[in-house]
Amino acid sequence: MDKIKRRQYISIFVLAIMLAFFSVLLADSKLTSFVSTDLYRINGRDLLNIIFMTDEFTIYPYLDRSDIHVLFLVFSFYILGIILLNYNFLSKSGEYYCLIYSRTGSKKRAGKYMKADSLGKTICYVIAYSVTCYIGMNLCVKNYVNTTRTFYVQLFIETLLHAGAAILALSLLQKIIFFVYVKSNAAFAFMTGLAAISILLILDIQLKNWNVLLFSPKHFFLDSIGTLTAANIEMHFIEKFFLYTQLPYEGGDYS
Amino acid sequence: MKMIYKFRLKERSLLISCTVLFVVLYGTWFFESYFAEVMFFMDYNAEDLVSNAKDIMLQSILTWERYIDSSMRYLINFFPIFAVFPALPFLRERKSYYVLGAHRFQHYQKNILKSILIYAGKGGLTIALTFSFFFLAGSLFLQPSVSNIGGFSSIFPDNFYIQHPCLFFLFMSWTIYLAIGISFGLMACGISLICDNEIYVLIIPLLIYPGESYFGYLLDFLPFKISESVCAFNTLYSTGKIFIPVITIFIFDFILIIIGLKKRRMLIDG
Repeated sequence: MDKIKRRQYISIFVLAIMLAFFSVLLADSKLTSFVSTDLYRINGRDLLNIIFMTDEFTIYPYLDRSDIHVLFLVFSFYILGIILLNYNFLSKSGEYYCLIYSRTGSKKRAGKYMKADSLGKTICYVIAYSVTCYIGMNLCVKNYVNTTRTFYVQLFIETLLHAGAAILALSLLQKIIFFVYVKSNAAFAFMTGLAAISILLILDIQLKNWNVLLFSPKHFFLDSIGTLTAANIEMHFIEKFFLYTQLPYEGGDYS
Repeated sequence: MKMIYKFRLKERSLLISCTVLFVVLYGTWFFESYFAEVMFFMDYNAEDLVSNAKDIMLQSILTWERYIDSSMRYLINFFPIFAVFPALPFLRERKSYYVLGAHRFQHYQKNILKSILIYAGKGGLTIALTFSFFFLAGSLFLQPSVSNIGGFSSIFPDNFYIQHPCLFFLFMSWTIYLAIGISFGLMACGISLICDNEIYVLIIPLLIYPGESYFGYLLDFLPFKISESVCAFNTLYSTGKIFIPVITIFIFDFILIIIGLKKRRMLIDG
């Protein structure tokens, strides 16, 4: 691992931990203000519910669907994610792709070069965020007065499954953004990424009994992982046929 | 007319930003206010329903409060991007027009300030125009259901909102939303004076906006609660207090622009 790459990994790791720390603080302040007003036995799941957001508004009394700031933490996680993970190609102008293509000789390899070890960075970002949230939850729960016993191993497994879904979602968003980036320019690509996040969240809240980005372990996240894997495979084929196809050269031998 | 004014008028970015904002507003309203559910997905053949259930439900849904509240639900997380996007061509202008023709201007900084004001005004106009069209279209089929909408109507006499709801929302879009748009347009211009890269102009306002409102809510400090003034239709603060978070952003913009102009001056003078 060379020097630049190590620096990028460390900055992503530190920023993810900072974001998780601030999210835990905000969720904790929200929960403590709720406890003082109403009687409800709080356990560890409630803090994670506020951070990752669930769509079961009827079960939990501290969640209100008409509250306009209810999706703030989810949006900040995904927006920081697409900024950090796609920074490598979004900070360059569109002509770089053509330059790298002319050197590498294959469009696919040029795309791989522009994305620059995206999967490792995504895993680093998401796992750092989720594990820090889980540790913060364990530290915060001790302070509440009315608590019930929770199954912490089950919560940890659910957090990891949700992290897997988030990794798939971020890689899907990266594929969409890279497609638009090659076709037009960086500003449009970034706008498309923001639109894609909101479309996924609208779908998620509209569909009852189906979960894509949020934290509702009714089917143990099999639905979200399945949907996002299918979307990733579809986006892979769209990239293969509309972005990476190379037309055959008919003007004789080019070597 | 100078060629540069024609170039600024012909820019498509204002139109694109307006259209995207309009589509996002109506798309989220369609799904979030149960309108789609009532119109298309609901089963009206059940026996225990009254015959005109659809009309009753539509009457409870088509209200001004639900209209604005449901359409802003996703938008509030990335609101500044629509004001920043029309100000992006300033970066291109700064890189070409103000470098190649630097020796032709009599007052170099005055000219840059003039074009900054034009682009910031474009950013404000995008949001104000789109919202006024949005509210004018809404006034055809909507009715108010609450007698007092919140703190932002405290400048008006009592019962003003229930009599003229459309006028209140037009006032909102041409005061607070125009101010927010101009402030974020100025921020985009200030960043593009300092940075050379297009994506920084998009990213930095998007990082400042949630970060600032986050600290505002954590510390309960009004000058940082910029998202409170974005949702001015549902707030506890009075009409004058709502403008305080925007003033913080304006101060930040002026610091950025002064630093940027000094940097340009040093580059031109050598």
